[in-house]
Amino acid sequence: MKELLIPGVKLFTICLAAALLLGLINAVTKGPIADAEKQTVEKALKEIKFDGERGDYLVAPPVELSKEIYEKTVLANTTDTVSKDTIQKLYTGKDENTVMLTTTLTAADIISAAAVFTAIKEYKPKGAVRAMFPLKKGDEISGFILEIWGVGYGGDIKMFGVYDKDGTVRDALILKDAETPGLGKKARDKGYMDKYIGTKTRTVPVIKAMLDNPDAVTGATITFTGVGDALRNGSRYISMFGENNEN
Amino acid sequence: MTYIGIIITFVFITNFIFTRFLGLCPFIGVSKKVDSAVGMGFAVIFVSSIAALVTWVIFNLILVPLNITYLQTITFILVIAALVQLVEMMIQKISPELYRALGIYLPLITTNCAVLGIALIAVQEEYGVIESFVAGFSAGAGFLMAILLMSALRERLDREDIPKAFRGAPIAFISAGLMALGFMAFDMTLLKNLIG
Amino acid sequence: MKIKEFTKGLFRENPTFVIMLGLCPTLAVSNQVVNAIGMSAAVLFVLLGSNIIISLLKNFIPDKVRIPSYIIVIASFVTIVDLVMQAFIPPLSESLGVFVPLIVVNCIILGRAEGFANRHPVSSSILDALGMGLGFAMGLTLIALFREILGAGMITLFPLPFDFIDEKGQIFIPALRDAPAGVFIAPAGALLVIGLLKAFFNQIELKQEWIREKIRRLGKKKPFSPKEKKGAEA
Repeated sequence: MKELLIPGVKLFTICLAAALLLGLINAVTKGPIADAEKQTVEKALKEIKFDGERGDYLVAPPVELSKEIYEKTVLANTTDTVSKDTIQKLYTGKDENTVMLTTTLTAADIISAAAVFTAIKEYKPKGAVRAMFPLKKGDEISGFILEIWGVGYGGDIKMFGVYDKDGTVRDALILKDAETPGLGKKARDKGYMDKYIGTKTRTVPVIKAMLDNPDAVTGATITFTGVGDALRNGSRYISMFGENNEN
Repeated sequence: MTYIGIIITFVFITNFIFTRFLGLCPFIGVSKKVDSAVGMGFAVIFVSSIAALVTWVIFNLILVPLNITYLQTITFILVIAALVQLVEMMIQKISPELYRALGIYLPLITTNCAVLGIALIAVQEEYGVIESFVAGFSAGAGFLMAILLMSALRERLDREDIPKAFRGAPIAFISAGLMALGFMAFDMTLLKNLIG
Repeated sequence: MKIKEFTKGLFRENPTFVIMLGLCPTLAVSNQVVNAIGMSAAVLFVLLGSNIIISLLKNFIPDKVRIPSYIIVIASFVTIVDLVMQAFIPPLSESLGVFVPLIVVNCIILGRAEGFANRHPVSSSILDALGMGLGFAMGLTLIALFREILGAGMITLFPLPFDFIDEKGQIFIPALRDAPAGVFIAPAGALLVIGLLKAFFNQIELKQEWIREKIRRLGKKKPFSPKEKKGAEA
């Protein structure tokens, strides 16, 4: 018994010491880790070009949502009836298992729904469009900055896209990617996003044939398609609201 | 992602050997003979599927509720080490034949980065419990495929007249590199075209 | 304390090219020089920390549970590196990704704990860790240099106050930058580069052996060599 007990106690002591040490380190680094993420977002917002006054961060209401998440995570966690109404007004059943955004929306609707989604801590945004910053000129909404996600060669690409209120791309910037250095990573270079600026929904280039200078993306076609897809999805998202309902 | 998507991803697109470089030590070390390669491959499938499942349970039901996710590396590696030991003892009891076939490879798996790798990746990708298990299984299957191809190749290479400096590991690396070139054909676009 | 404990890791027992341990990170993060340097620093820190602690605790740790104990010590240092990197150098942590926690299963570290630190005093263990860590760094950086120069036509370092480095810390190689051989950056390129480098070092080794053999034979046969030569001529 004793020859089992002593190694056990010693091993436990080592475990305990390790856990305590790591707890201490975690306490020190927890703040900076949280800040680091905020800093990349803030830095990106400073670098990206947009007109008007930037509103607060809002979780973007998803285009489609499984009924399970819609009922159990979203509706169940809205406390007051006003916000529940805001959400229910926007979503209709698509089929048995999914709900989707209605087609008769205004920018104001989506912003108030976004405010409700932002307040729900349990909801984790997924899909192509995950967050938004409304842009205002005076009292009028002039456009959006969207947090959009695409799939590149090495994995997910997280981007910011600046859009006019009709969905035209004004600027874009990559926040996070896992692309190959020297090839796909070039998407972070100055001027890469120029080819997307001024395009809208169907005219956002996603295949090489849509470019004036296709050689510029040779060797990194998948990154180019990923970025294009993300920007196109963002543009579609915005063109769903109100007057410019054309897709 | 659907289960089929996960299988295609881990077997072909991000094959642990050819694109992620996880589990290279046994890949080079145990690929000299087809028999031992098959043994190692199945041992990895076995352990990585169970490890992905168990680490999912531990991460989501213990570490997350207690808010100590920073201990994930240390818990995962201990769990995997204990698991390997347990599996070894179980196989020895249940099927001595299987133990004779897999036995010597099992202890090596503790330090195989493929197993810890899939546990960490499953957490990072926020997979559900079944998705984690499928991911663990397919990562192991991808490893088995790679090591099987490699060992078949190396058995033949042994009979070739290779320059002395290239014999052994160097030619193995170069052959693996050429195979990896082939695997570059599998990418995310392929997956998109296959399952939308 | 011997200087040999330090130098053996650099060349004679170089972890990357001679013992061939810890290959996964070597290949995976060698696509940029800056990643290679970051990874090497992380491995060096963990190796140094675990060698010191294990050498100090060698009489405390019971033989029966030594492997789990070593794993706990190593995993603790790895978690420290991981957290500190996430907090203070987030871009590096992002590009190294899952390979930081995977330092735990880097065979070099457990290998040095089991094979060296648990039976040597602290001072030699420190030298051993430094030598092995720097040897690993050399191998990794060499592969990364080959891959990034050929595959991307540039070298990525840190922003430094020199003229030839731009504000992102990159050095461009003029002709290669426009038409790089992209395959070297791709995973396949890593395997090809390490295979060719290993063959190159093997060749040097073979050559040295051949020379040594020649010298040995010459030394042995010297008294008879003129006769032999004559015989050959006849």
